[in-house]
Amino acid sequence: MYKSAFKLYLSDPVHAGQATIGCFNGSSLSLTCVTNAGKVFVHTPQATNIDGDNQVKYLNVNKQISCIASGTIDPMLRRDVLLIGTPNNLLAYDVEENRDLFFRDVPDGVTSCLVGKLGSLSTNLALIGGNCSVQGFDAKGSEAYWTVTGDVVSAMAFANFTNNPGKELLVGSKDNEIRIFQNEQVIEEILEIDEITGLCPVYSSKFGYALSNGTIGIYNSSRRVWRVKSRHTPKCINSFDLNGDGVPELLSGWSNGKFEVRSEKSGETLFKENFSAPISSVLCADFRSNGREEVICITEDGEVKGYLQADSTIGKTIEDSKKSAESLSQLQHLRTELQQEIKMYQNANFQAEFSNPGQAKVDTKISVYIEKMQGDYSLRLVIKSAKTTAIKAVVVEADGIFANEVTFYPFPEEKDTAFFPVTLISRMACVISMKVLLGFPLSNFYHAVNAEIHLGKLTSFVPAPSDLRSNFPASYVKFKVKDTIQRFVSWVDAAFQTNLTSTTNYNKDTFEMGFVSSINKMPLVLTFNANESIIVISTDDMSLAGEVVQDFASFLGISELESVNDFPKEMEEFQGVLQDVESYNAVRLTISADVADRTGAIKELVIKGEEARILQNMSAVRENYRQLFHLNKDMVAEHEKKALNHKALVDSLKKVNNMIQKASNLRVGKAKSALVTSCRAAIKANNMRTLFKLIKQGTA
Amino acid sequence: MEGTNITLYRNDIIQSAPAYKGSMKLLPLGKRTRQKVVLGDTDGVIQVFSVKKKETVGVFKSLPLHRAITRVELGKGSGQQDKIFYCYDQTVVGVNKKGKQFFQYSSNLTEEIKALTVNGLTFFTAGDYVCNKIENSNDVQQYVSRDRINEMITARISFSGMAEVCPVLVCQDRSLKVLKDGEVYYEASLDTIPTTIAEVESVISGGAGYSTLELCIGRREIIYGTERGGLGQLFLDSDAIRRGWNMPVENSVGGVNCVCAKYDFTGDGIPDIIVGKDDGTVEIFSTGDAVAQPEKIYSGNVADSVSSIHMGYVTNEESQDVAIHTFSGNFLCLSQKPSKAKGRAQGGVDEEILNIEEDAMRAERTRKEIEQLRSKLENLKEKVHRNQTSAVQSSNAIKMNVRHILNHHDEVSHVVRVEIAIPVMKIALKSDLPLEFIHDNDSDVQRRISNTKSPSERYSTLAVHILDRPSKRADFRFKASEGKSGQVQLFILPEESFHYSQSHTINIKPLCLHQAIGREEAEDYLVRPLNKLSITGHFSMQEMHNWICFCLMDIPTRAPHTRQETLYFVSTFLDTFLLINYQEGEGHFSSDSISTLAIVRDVITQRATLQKQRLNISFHANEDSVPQFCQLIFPRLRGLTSMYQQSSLVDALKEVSAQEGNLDCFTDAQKKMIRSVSENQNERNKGTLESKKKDLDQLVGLVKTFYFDWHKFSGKALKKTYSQDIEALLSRLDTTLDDVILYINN
Repeated sequence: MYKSAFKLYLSDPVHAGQATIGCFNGSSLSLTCVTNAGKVFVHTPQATNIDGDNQVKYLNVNKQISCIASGTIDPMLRRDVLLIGTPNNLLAYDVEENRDLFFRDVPDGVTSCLVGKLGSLSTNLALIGGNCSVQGFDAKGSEAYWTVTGDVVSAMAFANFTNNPGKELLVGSKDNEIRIFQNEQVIEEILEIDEITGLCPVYSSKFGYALSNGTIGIYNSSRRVWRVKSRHTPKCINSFDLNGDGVPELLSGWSNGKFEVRSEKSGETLFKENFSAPISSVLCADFRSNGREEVICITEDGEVKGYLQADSTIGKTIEDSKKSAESLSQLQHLRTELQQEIKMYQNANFQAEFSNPGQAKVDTKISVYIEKMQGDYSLRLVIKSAKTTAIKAVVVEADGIFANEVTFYPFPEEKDTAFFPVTLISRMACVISMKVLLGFPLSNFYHAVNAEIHLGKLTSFVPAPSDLRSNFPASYVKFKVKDTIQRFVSWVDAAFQTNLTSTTNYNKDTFEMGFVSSINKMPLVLTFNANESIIVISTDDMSLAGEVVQDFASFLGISELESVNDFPKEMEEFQGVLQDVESYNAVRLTISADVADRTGAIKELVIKGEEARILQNMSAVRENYRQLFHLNKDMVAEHEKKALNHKALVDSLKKVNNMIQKASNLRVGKAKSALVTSCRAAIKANNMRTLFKLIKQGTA
Repeated sequence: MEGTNITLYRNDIIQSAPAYKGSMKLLPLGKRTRQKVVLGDTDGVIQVFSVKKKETVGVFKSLPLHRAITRVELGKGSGQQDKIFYCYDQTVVGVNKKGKQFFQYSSNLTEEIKALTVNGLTFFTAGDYVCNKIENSNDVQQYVSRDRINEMITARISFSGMAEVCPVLVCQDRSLKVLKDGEVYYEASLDTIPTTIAEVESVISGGAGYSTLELCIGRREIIYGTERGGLGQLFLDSDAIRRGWNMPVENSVGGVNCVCAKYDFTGDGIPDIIVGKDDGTVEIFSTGDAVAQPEKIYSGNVADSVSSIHMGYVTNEESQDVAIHTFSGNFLCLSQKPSKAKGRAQGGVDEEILNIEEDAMRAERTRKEIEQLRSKLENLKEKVHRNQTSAVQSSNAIKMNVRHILNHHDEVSHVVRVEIAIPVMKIALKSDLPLEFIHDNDSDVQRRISNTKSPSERYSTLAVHILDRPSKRADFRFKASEGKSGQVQLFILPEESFHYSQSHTINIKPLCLHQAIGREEAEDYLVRPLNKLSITGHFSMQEMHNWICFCLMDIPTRAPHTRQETLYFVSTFLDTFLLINYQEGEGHFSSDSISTLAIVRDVITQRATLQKQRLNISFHANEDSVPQFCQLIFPRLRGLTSMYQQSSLVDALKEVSAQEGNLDCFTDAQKKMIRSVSENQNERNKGTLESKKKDLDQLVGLVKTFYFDWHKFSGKALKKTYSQDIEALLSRLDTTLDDVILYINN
């Protein structure tokens, strides 16, 4: 069904996911891959250079390369530019003329890069994702875009998320979240269960994603269409219409060397092939310049294989007849299977009607609920069967709670009540679905009952006893609302899965409710003052406060919300972080100066040493090289210092970005996006006081 | 013949209820040009039909007996070759091809009849342990086998000129027995457990391998299939069994379920062997020469355990098809020609279009049928859901086959193969032993295994296997170490809508990695230096036999009738040997591994204490067994240690070589390492570093246990730090075999 178009072997290994195809000379395409030891090679099959048949050009970057991309940034240049990202800078390189278009220091690091037109902007940008931030550079290398994300960016893609003209930027990060940006504003956040390693647009509002736990799948806007999970890790995903039906399929390359084509609708495997090495990249391009786009699969040991789109006209009748024969046998198979199933149910009914006295009836009504233990603030799931039937075992499936999302609890006690602990590790909404096996003692036959329970983002909070005063959190976020206390309480019930509306006689003027997290045992207090319509959320965790605010706003349909906050502990830490950044920066500069000094000294010593050698003055040679050796040792030590300092700097910068993100989350709507831009401006202006004020009050 | 691979085209015909081994037969060619198919299933339905244009035309279909039909046979006597005989429970029923019953016989046996042959008025039946000869509905002869009978056929064997029909049995104790007058006439012991046999019908006389003389003296050629997927050939002479070829097992772990040797694909005059396996594999072997090793000419997979396989004109009259009935009840044919080949080859376009139209119409019809069935199913489902309160508890609700075998191909592991009559999504598993699951990289079925820690610490292993798609078959491979007995319980969970589940328990014996071997094979091991453990006391032979049963797999439950019995076992993991010799009041165990004897002693004393038996245990240690044991374990230990230590270094070396562009900067040892690693790339990919580490730890653990046991048995004082000492000793790459032996001996 799928034709293999060509096959070739590159002489060098290819790093995972680090390959791109670009038109660097303005006429023909080149395959560019990152290989060992900080090298990049450019393979141009159509190359007609002067140096004969040399199709491969090597570029020495001499740094650890974290990602590469290609695209047209400069519309005047009329050819693609190669972008090379390293842990602390970005190089835009013009391959044809062998010159740097620009070279920028990026203190946040470059973990993924992409070229494209963002939303309403008129030109292409080089977008790079780093520690908690996304930056965009124009052709001159000046910053044209900046925003924050929750963690290190691990994947980026453009997709038509809203179906409006203009594409949105999808950013996947290490905190398992996919954020959808329309310009600077986050319009949607999708929480997954593991680190996002790949994103790609499929068509219209559909996009594919890959997780580091072996899942790939498709979202249609914020709704998941399908997903599959494998033991292996997806290395790369892409989309292309390989079977010629007019709709692109999801292509994926895996750590075990499998290349897979799955239908975008159902996730059904349409084609697969196994390579001997892990797949590095799957790209789509008209690589052979014959007017037909093809899919190119590159493995980590340098094997390259191209696949052509299945032809839809030639041999159509044969395909058709084959298909009809296939579908006929499939239909017949389906028929027999259905017949079989019907028989089984008939049997079941038959047995139900004439059940032997020995096979007493099983009452299958069971109830499941989450029990919140006030003693140690933990959660457990309780299963109760209505009659004296024993609960034998339960198979539980839930995203993100158990390793591999599934677990099995046998209950050897065989009682009518059973429970197991639910240990949540993050605040994440999930569904726990269970298959409960009921049966008689010592029997090997069970009745399997399905049950399901929904956990909200904030279910992990256990209502605290009233004497929480001693442990009252010092930090809070405060905002004014128009809603009534009843609405507020109904939100508390829904979000925390409590039952206040019907049970408690709450005060009509003020309402106070304390919770303790089952995850880290931190308290959370909600207060509502009806007279002033002010809600105070007290917690020491700023990101939790943000989540509560966001949940509250979305539950009550609030689109704009301003808030004031005070997080003394976090702000104190933040102050420290900012000071750290300053001192690290200072250290960096002095070290750089030292390095420059020493480099000069080294050059001098080398020349002196060589001179002495030519003059055959052996003692001088020895002396010079001894000094050189010491200097070299110093340089190595210095480098280590520099590396440590840099790491600390990056960590601190990440914290700064993270803080802005957290602060923005305490607001909703315009206030939220405005905060990000004004914070960035304050940082650029190095105006720390404004930054603090912004974070606390939202306005300078 | 060389490399003549054949192509077969699959045609799914009909679905019955799940079916046991050998419950499908093809009626001989009658007036028509196609053969009719007889199917029996576990619902007790027997049906006869023919196939016309991929659709079945039924001849008759009996009402369900609600009892499983265990075997379907055709008469062998003259004039009864189109008579159908089938059995359920203890009853044999004969019907003619129109479905009219003309015969019924109920035996007074307690066993289910599992195998049957009919020759005129003489019947041979076989159950789990008993083989009977029935003449004129009278039980005339009986043979009780020591171990389970896996299959029975009859063959006409000539004894000094007189041909007689004799039953040929293959039994779980690795033997093939030929009975005469209710006694074993002769038997052959085989290297693995045979599961099925078939007689090669030498209809084609004067074939390359046969001399006419051999045919005259009535030599019979028998093919047997084994539990591990191997095949073997035997010749039954008038006074002895002669061995022919023996085909070693290939990678596939599927056991042979059925063999058929009636049809010649290659056209060389000798029937080819068609094999159906329990992992769904169908293979055809060509025997070029009656004595030469057969050659595989076809291999396919029907994705379902094959219960019966035959050759005949089922879908067309031009060439014979391979007819297959599977465990889940799917009846299908593998045809030699694609169903529309005729049209394309000769008729040209017109006929082809005709064909397509016809197909389209048929598809349309099928689609409608499916719609009807769907709605019917929905109704039923609703009904069942409403009745959820009522029990669906019945022992015959889901037919399930669980097989547990020891695999020792590439890695020593336990293989559990589950076949279920309905598709399942998940299989949950619990065990009180720590199990380590092995993933098959090449297997098509992706699965997720979650290994959770038990909250109550009562179970060491809790796992859930999730299948990629609903499947009727599932394999597990896991490793378990020796020493403790335990259980593995599987819970089968069908798809969402089906509110039913059942479990199955597998026992893991303390010496679960030991495998029984035959006397001839044991010869090589007997020369080894062996330690001896002797147990005496007032116990009967059966008691001793039971205790041994608690230690080892592959032993029949009944004690032998002889006064004394000798058994031979080999550890598949370390290749150590265990010899057991026991009689009333006495049991002698000899092994070159002292740890094995320690386990035997522990289990037997424990069992005896439960029965309040007093035992005298004496022990004779053989100093030479220490070097013997070390020689077995040391090379593997060394290989793993060096591989483990190298693999962490090699990546760095590779990076340097990429930077330098060549290997000149390395020492010779480093160059060698790089080369050997790139050669062993595949080997390295097989298991991750962690699994290597686990294997290594296991081996080190074995050495520690050996040290401990050796010192305890030989009465020497243990060094307190032996555990750390051994670890340190074995992690050094310059440790030699002698160092290890020296340490253990001191």
